[in-house]
Amino acid sequence: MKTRVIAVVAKVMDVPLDQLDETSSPDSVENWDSVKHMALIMAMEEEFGIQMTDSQIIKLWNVASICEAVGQSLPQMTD
Amino acid sequence: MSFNHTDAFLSHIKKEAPAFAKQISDTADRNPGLFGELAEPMLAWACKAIGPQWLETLTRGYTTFVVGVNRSQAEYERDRRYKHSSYAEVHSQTYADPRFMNDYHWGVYVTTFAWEHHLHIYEFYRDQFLGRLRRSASAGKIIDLGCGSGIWSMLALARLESWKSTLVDISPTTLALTRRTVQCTGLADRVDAHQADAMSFRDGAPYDAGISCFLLEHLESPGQLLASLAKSLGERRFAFVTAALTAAEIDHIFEFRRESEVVALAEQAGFRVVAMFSSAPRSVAPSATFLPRSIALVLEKRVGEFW
Repeated sequence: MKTRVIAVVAKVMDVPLDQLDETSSPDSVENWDSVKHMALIMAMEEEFGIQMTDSQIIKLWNVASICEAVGQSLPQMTD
Repeated sequence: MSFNHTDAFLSHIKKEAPAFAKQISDTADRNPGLFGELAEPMLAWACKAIGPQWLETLTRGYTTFVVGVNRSQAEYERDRRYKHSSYAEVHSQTYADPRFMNDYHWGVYVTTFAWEHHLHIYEFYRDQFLGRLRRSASAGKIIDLGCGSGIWSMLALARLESWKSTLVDISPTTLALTRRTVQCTGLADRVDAHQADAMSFRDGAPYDAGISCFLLEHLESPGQLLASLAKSLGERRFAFVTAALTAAEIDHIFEFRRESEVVALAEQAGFRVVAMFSSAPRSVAPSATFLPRSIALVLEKRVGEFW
């Protein structure tokens, strides 16, 4: 799952895959602002077939937390 | 050294919601004087009105609001139309829901200084509208239709020492929060607030100036609001009106696509446009069909001249 999450982040943020890891966040990715954040969430929702709540979305602050939120929405999935 | 509310807020939101802090920091960095002029008093007022939880309340309100706006805009890009088109569709999930309205109230409040294109609307308001009021009369009374947080009236009264304002809003939650904020501004003796329908409110007319900010897009018939505003004003009096264009939100039901549509409605309602400003975000996605933006108009009520 982590690989798929990072692939989505790379596409939405227009950043090379090899520049991203679990610690990547708005602090390290220049394009990651509130508009891109929502585009990222919607791309995740489409990729994994899930729907995130507003309170979940606000607390997502790096790739690791996105993986965790996606995992909670799809508990049967493994990497 | 006095407490700086702006630094405290920026620090808090950067820690709690970094993806949402960037836009505000960019606005502050690019407009240091203007940002400080507006953000500091607004945050100080909110701090007094909300109490110890002010940072958490403002951050939750702003981030929740922005998530809603950005999701709505993405859906709008996909569907090419606003999600709802009638007041009845949005009423129960927005205006009648106190929890939604609390976050919404403070979210919109923060966008006034946090969004660069809104900050520039404040600059236009200060220079083109408040400047005209100051030159036109030393004292007067303002009608503020669909006042929301009341911020536009509060900013007016803070600069126009002998003016008063009558605030009108249909949401009891919003009005309760607004009354509390007004109490904290030192302007309360020059404000009176009414829970009423802005489309039909006429008490106290004629007024010497009018304000209606970001209400038109929430209405099924925005022309009626402008007509109501015109009826409330004395001859040749000024009004400040704003509207959102191709900017989706859950409760935006009237889709303005062009600035000229708003201008035409104002002219039909009995106004002459004396100043206009169209303000858009600095950047949008290259693939976007719509440019979400705001228009601000300074209007003068016509008398009986040919039009």
